[in-house]
Amino acid sequence: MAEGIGEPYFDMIFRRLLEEHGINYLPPGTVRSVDYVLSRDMIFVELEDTTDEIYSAITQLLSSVIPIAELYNAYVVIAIPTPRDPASLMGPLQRFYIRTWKRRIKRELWIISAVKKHMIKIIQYGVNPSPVLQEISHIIEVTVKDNGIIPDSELIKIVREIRKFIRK
Amino acid sequence: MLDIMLSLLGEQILSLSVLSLVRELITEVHIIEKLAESGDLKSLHKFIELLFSHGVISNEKYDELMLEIARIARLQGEELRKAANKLAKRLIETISEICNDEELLASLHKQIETLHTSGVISNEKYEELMLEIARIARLQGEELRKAANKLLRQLRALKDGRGYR
Repeated sequence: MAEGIGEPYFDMIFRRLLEEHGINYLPPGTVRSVDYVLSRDMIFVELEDTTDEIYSAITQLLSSVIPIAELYNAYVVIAIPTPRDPASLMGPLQRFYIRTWKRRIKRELWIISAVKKHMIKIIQYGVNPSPVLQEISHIIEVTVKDNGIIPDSELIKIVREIRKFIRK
Repeated sequence: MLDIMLSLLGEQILSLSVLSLVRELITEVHIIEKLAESGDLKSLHKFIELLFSHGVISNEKYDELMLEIARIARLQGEELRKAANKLAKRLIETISEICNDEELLASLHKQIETLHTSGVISNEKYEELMLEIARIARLQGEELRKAANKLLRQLRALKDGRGYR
């Protein structure tokens, strides 16, 4: 499974993953404009098929999900299939933090590989990772400055680490 | 027309494409100017509230625009019309900025992907350009557009075989 496989297919894979791990969820359409709400811990998940779609997803999340997520200081997650090249994540990841920085939410980016049955969670340094799918998750922590800026060196480090993990 | 626009903002998921459509309605049909000219502050107020509730504008921007509405409400006649028109222009600029920023970033991103997949640029150059997008993603408004245009020129040069690959 790789970037560009098509959102319906990615959705099916993601749903199967949740079911395999016994995670309760509210399926697409239950909550307006959000793909999944993982019910136990209020984790809002937006699935995107390709990395460039993350830019418009951020606007959509800001307009719909984030105002609700702020009430619970909940996790807001953007999940994508393994990108063709992890370097393509640097811009979208930076934009995600910049545009949501003043909002009281916990942000994560998930990279899901159905083939290898594992995922990468990119989380902010010092914030607890979301308490689901831990057994198949590899955590990458990112240092974020006060204004939401992720230093260049951090972005490069993340890319290297994702590449290393994917090659395993 | 106002109903359509408010319903787009109020009922639908505010994706970038919906926001772009709202921008088109504003710039092509001049709906905000018409509201301003008729002194329909209630609808302008509603419009700003919807932009805020959808996260299109920040708390600061919301306060600033609402204060402007309060100022305009004190005016009458020609003064009111002029001030409301000024506010309409600011609203259009705000929406355009948001649309343009995200569209620009996504467009640059796709162009770099194309250059890479078609073998025009190396893996190293691809990473370097993607890092440049991340730097641009930290900016907004005029600053973002200037930096994006600079990168766009660089991408065109690479496409035409004039730049370092």
